[in-house]
Amino acid sequence: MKEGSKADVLQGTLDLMVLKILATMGPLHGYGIAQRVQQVSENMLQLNQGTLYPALLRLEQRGWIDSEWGRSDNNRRARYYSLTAAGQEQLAVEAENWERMAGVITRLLQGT
Amino acid sequence: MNVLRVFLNRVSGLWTKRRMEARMQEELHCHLEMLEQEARQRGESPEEARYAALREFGGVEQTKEICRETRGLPAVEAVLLDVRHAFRGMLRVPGFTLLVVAVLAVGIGASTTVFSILNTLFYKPLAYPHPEQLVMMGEAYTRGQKEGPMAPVRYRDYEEWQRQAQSFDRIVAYRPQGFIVNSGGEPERVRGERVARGYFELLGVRPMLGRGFSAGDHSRGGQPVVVLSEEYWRGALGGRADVIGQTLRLDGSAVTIVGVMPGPLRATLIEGGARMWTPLIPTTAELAYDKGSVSVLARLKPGVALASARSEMAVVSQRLAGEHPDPDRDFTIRVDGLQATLAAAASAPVAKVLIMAVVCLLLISCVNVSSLLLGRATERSKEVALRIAMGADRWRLVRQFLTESLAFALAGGAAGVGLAYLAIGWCSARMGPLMANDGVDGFEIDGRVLGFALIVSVATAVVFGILPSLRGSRVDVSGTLKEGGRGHSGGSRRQRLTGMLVMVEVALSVVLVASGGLLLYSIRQFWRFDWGVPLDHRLTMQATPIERTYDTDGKRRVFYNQLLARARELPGVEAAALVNSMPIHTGAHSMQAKGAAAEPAFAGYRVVSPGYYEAAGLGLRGGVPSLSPIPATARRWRWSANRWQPSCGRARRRLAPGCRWTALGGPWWASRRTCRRVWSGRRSTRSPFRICRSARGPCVCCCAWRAILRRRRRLCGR
Repeated sequence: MKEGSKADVLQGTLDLMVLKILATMGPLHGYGIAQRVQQVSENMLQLNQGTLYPALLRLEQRGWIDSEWGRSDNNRRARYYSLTAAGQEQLAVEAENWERMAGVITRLLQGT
Repeated sequence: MNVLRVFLNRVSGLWTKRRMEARMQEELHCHLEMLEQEARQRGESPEEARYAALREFGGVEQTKEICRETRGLPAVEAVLLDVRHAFRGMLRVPGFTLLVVAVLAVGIGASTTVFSILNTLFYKPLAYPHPEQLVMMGEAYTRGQKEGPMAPVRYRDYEEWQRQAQSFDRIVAYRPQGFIVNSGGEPERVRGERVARGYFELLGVRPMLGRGFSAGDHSRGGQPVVVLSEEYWRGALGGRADVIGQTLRLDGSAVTIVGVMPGPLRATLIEGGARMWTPLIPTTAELAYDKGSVSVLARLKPGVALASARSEMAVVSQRLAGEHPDPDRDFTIRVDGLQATLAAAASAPVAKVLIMAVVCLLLISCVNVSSLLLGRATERSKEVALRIAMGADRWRLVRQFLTESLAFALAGGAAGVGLAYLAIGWCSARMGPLMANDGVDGFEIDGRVLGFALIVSVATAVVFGILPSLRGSRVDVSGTLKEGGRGHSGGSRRQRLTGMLVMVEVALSVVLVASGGLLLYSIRQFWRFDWGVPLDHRLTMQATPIERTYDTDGKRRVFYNQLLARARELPGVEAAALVNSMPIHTGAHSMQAKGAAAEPAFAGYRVVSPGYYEAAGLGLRGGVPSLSPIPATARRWRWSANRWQPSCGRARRRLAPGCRWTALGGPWWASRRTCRRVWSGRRSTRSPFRICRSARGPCVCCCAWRAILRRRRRLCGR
């Protein structure tokens, strides 16, 4: 695989991605979230789908997402994650942070 | 907030572990299946689909491991694992475990018992609001540079202090007194106190029934009233709620009960517990009395330090000395924290020796357990070698061993607390009635004692566990494993080291056993000390004639003479005599000799009735005491030379007696020869007693007389 063709997921951005995806798509299971990440990034992102699970656990421990068992499309038992009110607020905060950071980086790159 | 939530989640993860594990397994399995299905839909063979799914997912086991770590507290889990392992190990060798726990239980139990007794008596904070502000005040003889013990204060000095001292919220005098309660049946002596105004307010205690003393109660000519302690109210009066307003016959006169105070008041521990209180209204005689008669309790103003109160009282003391110069009085004012005064009693020699003996016992059990564990560590070298081979590091093994020690110690501690509980129950039952006099209603195991037991257990775990753990975790892996089933660490050097350790431990325990035994022997010697007075077959008796009825010297003399005559008629009594203060007892009856010597000499004295030597069994040096009369008016006493205070020499000294001459009523006799050395209390106050005799029989002193009776030997029932 050529260097730079696929980007590693930046530290901390996975949380933001998960929150955003849950906010737009509603409750989803782990596989669904992973699919969505791949789809949005158009396979530009190098993501080990397994790393999703510790992230989900962390977010749940912080009380930003909630989870319960449900049925998938092909009637398989799966754990569904959904955004909580606290998660909604956190999403707003993190999105703003990200935009500020991205703005800084963009300005820096344009400056040179 | 978030950190806390995460932490709590993680902690709860320790309990929901199994459920969370199952959930994770199912979730990951489901994810992988979905990936596989997707791959199959792309047209790949089942096997290829499976690999593709795994590839896309990343390391499954790694993910699980990360999830597990995120879920709980890995460090705690490791410790819990150690603990579980330790307890399993203990159960595997029940005999060994029982032995170790028993040895530890004895050590920890003994120290916990002693601590609990000392805690109840001396260290437990006084149950009053702001106990740190409470102080005792008194006068102390200055003997050269050294300050003597706290002595009672003259009433008029106390009044001066109240007027002049600014550091205190309140200064209140009280005077311990035995009351004679006559409620129809047998008259009963009850320990009590006469207290000045504001005593209960100073301590901060509120009556549980009725009221405390009012201003009217302290005025001369007011209606006589009494406040009872809860203990007396429950014991003697059956805890009836209607006692308020009823009368009690106290010292021959009717006194109205106005209130009941809750619990034992522990401030009174110093003087012996009080069961009832009456207002202290000084009589004219007491006001004029030239010797200390009241004890003084005070509460510092908030924010005033003890040191500044002390320096203020030093100034007050100098001012008073300037106003009323008296060459015979070398006093300074002493101010001590009440709690400190209580705690100071813990440094009594017996307490010290007891503590040392208990520490010895604890160390012996530590050393023994250490030896046992060391032996076991050697046996377990194979297991350790296996674990090292599988990648356990040294620290992990030391931790494992220490956890095991801790498990042993905690089990021993728990058993020790159980033992202490039994021991304290036993002590309370045997010493309870004695302690009740001091305002302590029994010993108990409270939070402090349990905390102490826990600290001792953990400390012992470290002490006895450190050596075996260091030794046990160092194993020659290949050598041990090669030896196969023998499970013994080879190498003569290593064995020599183990041998030396065992030798050191055995030597140590022998030393400790010897010193512990010696300490216990010294405790025994404390009680078997030859005080110079035979204590067997002796009975003592105290009788206080009520002042109201026996108001003149003559009446009191008749009373005491009758008492003595009747006591002598009692079956089995061989001899009886009166004395103002028991032998050995350190009373306030001392005289100061003033003479040529630079340092004033103190001498205790006894006023006795004829026959005292026979009754008390004091062997006299030089046969019959030779008595020579000394007129009281001359105020010159002869101080005969004695072997114990050669500094006195044969010089004549003027004696300034502790008691007033007139109160003693002369004429007096002084014996030329002293009797056997009689010890009084502590070694430091060893002054030989002068034994004096009144020619006219017992007379009234400032104190009540005590009778000492000698029983016939064959009647000795006990």
